[in-house]
Amino acid sequence: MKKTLLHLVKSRSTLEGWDWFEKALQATAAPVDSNVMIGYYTGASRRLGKQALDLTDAEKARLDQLHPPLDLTRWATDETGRAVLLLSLTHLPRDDFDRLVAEIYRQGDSREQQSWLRALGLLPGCERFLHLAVDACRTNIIHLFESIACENPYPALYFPELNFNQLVLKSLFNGIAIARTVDLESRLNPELSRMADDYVSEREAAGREVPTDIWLVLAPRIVPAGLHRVHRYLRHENPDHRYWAAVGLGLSGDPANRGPLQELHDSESDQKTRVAIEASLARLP
Amino acid sequence: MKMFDPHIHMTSRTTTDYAAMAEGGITAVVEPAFWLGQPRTTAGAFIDYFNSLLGWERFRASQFGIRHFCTLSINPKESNNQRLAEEVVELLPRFLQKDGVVAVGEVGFDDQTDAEEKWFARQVELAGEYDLPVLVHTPHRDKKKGTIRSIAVIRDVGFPEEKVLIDHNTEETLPIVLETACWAAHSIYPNTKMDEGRMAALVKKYGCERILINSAADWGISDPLKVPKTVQVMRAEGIAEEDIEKIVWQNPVDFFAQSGNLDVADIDIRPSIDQTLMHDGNSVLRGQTPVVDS
Ligand SMILES: [Zn+2]
Repeated sequence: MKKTLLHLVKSRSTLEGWDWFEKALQATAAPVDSNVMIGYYTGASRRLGKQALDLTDAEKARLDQLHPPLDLTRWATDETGRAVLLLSLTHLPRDDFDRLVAEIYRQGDSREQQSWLRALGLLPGCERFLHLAVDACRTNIIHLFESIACENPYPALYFPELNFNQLVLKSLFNGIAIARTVDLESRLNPELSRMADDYVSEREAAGREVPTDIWLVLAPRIVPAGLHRVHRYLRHENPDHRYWAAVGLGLSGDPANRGPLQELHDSESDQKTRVAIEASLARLP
Repeated sequence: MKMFDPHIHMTSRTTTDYAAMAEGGITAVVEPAFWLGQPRTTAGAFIDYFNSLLGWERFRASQFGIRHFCTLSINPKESNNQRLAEEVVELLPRFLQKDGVVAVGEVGFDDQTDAEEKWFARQVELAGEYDLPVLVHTPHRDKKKGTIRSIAVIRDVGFPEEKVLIDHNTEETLPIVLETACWAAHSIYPNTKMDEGRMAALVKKYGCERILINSAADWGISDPLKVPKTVQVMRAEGIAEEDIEKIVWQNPVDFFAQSGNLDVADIDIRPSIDQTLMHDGNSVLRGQTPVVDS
């Protein structure tokens, strides 16, 4: 994987940029000077550039073959270079590695922290940095929050339920599509459905709009008393509500939801929603 | 009508805001210690922050005829940093005894973690020890549950409810707070929390006892004139003048007077402005002619 990333950096750097990066890689060899290393980590934006990787189909195919597959759709060259630097430090004794990697995060500006969070799941023993990943979710800087909450497998793999649920709620609050949360389905839970349901109540009481994708986490594990509201939004005039309510109900595993879905299917005019209903009916027992 | 904004983060606002607030009728503010948008990593950063609230910011406000009070604490978000929370709570007592401190706050929940609950409870205890009221921030996410849990924490500590102000209420949390003896504040925000029209509707439904409003203006999208703007809407909605005055003046005065740090006789008089004064050699003026009340 490191080789693949390194190749991506090389193919996107200028000659001077690559020269600089080779020096940075040399600095990862023992003995590592922390200050120098942090300086190289920072320097990547200027030396390698912030342009998006803009992967070719062949490169995407190669990444998909990796285990686990890597989604670099939103990564830029500097971020890829930074990931390679972190991966080149794994030879350090564990305590030294942990200290340096944490320091790189703490001293980083928001783009450096974004790069760090995106690469976190690639590092050996990455669960040891859980507290930093959880803390990153407390930011109000949206792109920084997105770098941990979206297209990142880390939260679903390592976050405790409370922190995972807060991450999903925060995405909903900020209008970030929760479908961007990797492996959301694997972390659905009754408390998350309850929190989402309370949020809908709050929005309705305030006379405000409800995020249309909230049903994706609300519908699957909601207590039976909460289902009638999902069924109500299943007939909402906004097709996005109907779509996500249909998708959410498909994840409920509850055969009682077949009836309302079937009923909607007969009258549904929106093509995308029809397809979602069919998929959900096929999933439900 | 005299107005009090009992929750506003003036350190993030400009002198133009101060001038507009004074023009709009605001003569007193409470600035709660909160988070600065960027996490702090040392207790020293809090010492400097507390001192700037107690010193420079109070002086800046006075230059516009506005009395500035503050509440001090480590906020819920940053209390998740255990080491930091420990250090800040340890140095808090000496700050709580300073002039201008009218409560402990904002304390409460953000993500509703165990760490947040621990430091929330500990700081409520401190308020008891130093005989100060408490300002409780209710969380943005999972607000109703967070409000119920906050009340439970206050009760567990055995802190007197009439010295507790629960902030950022909504249609759903206000009735829960009014069932207790706590006071209920509402942050009137441009896009989130509560707006002027909804606030007027709540006053019509629940009256004006123990109800406060504030702008909660900070570094985010917010409006330091939300208190006077809400007064206008309440008037237009036919709410009685004395009820409005109770909400925007008497209630905050009565609540924070429980600290013993807010002189009720004194606060009734608009402080006189003397912009020729300097705070440690710094003036808020940048070449303008100083305003001096005669
Ligand atoms: Zn605040």
